[in-house]
Amino acid sequence: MQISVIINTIDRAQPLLRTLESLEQQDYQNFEVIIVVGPTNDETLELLSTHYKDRIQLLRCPEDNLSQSRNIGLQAAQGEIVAFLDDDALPSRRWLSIIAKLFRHDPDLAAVGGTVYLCLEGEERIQHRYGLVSSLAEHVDVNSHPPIQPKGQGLFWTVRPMGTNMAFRKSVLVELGGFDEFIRYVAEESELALRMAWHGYKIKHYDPLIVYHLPASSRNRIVKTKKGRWYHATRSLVYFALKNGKMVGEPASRIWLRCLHLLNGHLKWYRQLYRTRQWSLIDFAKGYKDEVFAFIEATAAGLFQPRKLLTKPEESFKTQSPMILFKSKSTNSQRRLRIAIAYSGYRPPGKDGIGRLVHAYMEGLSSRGHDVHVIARSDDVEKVSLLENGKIHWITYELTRYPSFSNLPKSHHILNYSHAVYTKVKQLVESEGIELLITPLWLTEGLVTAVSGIVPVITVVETSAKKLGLIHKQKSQDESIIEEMEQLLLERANSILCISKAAKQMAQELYTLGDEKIEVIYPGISLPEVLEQPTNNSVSRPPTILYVGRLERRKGILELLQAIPKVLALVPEAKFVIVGHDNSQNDGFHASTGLTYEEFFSKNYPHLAKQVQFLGHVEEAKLDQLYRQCDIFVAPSLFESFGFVFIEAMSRGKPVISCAAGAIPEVIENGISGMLVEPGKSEALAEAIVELLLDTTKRTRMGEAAREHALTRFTLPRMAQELEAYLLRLVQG
Amino acid sequence: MSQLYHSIQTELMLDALNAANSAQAISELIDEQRKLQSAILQSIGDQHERGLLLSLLRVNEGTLITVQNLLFGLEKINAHLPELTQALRERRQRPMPATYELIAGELERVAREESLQVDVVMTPSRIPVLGGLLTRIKRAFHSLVLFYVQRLAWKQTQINRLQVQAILFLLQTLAEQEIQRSKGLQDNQNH
Repeated sequence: MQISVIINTIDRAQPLLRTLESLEQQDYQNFEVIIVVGPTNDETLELLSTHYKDRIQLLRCPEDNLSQSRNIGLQAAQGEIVAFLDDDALPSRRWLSIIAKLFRHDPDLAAVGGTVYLCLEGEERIQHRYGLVSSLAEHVDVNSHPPIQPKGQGLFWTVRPMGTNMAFRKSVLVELGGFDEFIRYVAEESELALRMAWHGYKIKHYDPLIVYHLPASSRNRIVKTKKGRWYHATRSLVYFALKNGKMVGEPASRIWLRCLHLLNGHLKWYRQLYRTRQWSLIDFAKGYKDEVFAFIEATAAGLFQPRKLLTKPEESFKTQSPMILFKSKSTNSQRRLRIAIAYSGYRPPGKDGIGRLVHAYMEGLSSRGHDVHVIARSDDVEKVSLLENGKIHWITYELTRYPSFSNLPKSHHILNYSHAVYTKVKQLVESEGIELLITPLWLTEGLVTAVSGIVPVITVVETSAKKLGLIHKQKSQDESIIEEMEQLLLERANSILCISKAAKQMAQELYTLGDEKIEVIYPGISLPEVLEQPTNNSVSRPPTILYVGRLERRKGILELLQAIPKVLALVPEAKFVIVGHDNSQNDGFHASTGLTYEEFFSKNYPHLAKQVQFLGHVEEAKLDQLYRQCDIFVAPSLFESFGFVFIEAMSRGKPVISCAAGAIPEVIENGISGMLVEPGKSEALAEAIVELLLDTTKRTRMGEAAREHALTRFTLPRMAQELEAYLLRLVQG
Repeated sequence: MSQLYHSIQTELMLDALNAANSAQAISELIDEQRKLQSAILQSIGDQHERGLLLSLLRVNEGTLITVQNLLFGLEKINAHLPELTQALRERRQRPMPATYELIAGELERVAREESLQVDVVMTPSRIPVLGGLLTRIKRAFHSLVLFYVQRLAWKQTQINRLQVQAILFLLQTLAEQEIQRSKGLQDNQNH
């Protein structure tokens, strides 16, 4: 089935190039691209002839009229199906495959529309999901499921696709005369949809048909402002209501009431814009004048002129020359993977250990040319963010499933969220052709997907609820179910990826796993390439010891707080900086002492409070500064499955003091790049800190060795390469 | 383990019920039900309890089979949908039998004209000078009440129109069938 993709454009050269690049990634090959350029003033024509010569059909539209431009494209189209895409929109990878499938499977289908995500930074949301339109030009957009009943007065309603994501059977479009060219902008697609439905043709909405929309400024509107040619809306909608209201037999009084309502609505809005100083008096006067003129013009045309449709016979649409298939210019034959990573807590660039790991995977895999889609939990609505490294699909969930677990709040939430992840993965399999799901063991978000078997699931072992339960010596019935979930996820996952040998050992001990489906790949991070030389100022300031991590039992914060007085007794000028949020409410510390860690320190050592700073969570830039300014980095964790903080400190040339526990000896070479002490021993910890504080030469030597070690073992390119090879092995079976 | 696993499987099946492959999902549910039945037979010793649970499962199975039958019915209707759609598409292009045109025309006229409009019927006041003012105040008050009555009336009209549309559709289908039947009869006579 041949498809013609029609893009209508004016003065949007750069967004258009991005749209064309995204079309090069389509997994459907049998299509042509027709670009109809209106009266343009920018470099669109030059850029198209430079980059896309011989790959597209380039046509011109003499007027600033979208309907006319769409009809010009339609007349030149050679495909059985014509698909319309805006010049500032990016279709999902399987956009054309889905369109072809829908039309092939349903010979009665005349038109289809899909979901549009608005991806403007800071304004992300669903722009269009299920749209309806009435014969009185009433538009109802239903962004939720199930669709609601429309509230409007029109007699006849139909599904309305959005102009940036719609496809039609060409023969039907030709039969109906295409778009009504009186409508220059706004509602030309819903007007067509209404005519189609009235003539008995089938229009359908299909959720997984997805387009990501990044609205660019144009003559009609300046994005993120109120500046625009809004009178187009009045002109189009009044005409729409007059023509189609009459067609379906609406009473004349209702049609006129609707038209006046449209005019009045806009005039009221202009008054509001003027009152709130968003519009100047000149804008206001001009807006008023344009509105009234548009209303008169639309009324005259709606009452006395015939529709401006294409009237040529179908034969004239057929051209003799063969279709110019749109081919990708890329010569890269490398297998491009499509990967989903699910982690609810991901907030770029990653706040916690797992978040940083997810960010590293995203960065690393996209740098190798793979498509990465992260699924994260949204705090408000379902949306999509477009990043340089991939897409983030923000999902929401409700506690409507798994009623038998409703008395166990944590498990109930986890299961329902895991189901929401499964629903999203299912959609991404269809819309983006996702081949794999990578998901941490922590929170078992991939559990339902793993049980469903829709895609291979890789579970990443970083930390585990069972291990934490053992360290914090807490276990409720809810936590037992979470452990059961971990066990089930490990059993059902196609492969288990451990971030260190210690993590592998932990998983095997806790869950009695064999070796066969376990792989170890150390994480990597983007390391600072050049280090600033310490200034004289930094030499004269007091030596600083930095701690970064959650303030909780597992991280060894208690041992550090107990070691501080011992250190300060010997090196009184030293200063401690503690970074990370307090987790004493969850690790049992607050329950047993009634204090947070900071309160505990202030209460027990009030005379030292000035030398210990508790900063809580800090932003990335501040953290980087703290790393660079410290002399020693300390994080005496009782267990770490890896420890990003170590390589972050090491990469900045800082010696590290920690414990010989978990994966820490795999990251820090004891006596070379840092010092490892016995876990849980504050005395030994204090001794190690004092030793490094007093011996500047050793400190410098260890710092240099630490940086060297980090730069050779834990870089992003190394991790990306190993991860890619592993994933390719899995996909290729 | 089993409760967790079964819960996930059940939710996945419920998901499938909403999707296109409902028939398959129901078959899976029936299979699951039977597995559960044999598990109950083995694990519950008390005969009374076992009897009650098995009866409950039988009722469930009956419900599932009924739904399955309904689905088959729906599939049959689906198979005929293209013909119906085609007929609707051609409604405005092809002449229909005279009776159809007559009834359909009448129904469409009624649909267009029927509108439960309630108007203000007021006798003008005969009080000199203040009469006009009084009538105006009364009219304004009545209009306010009517505004709400009209809204309800409008909804009722909408429902009526939908009903008329449905009847029109059925009529048109019947007319189509009538044409087909007469063609068939004619063909038979010719043979």
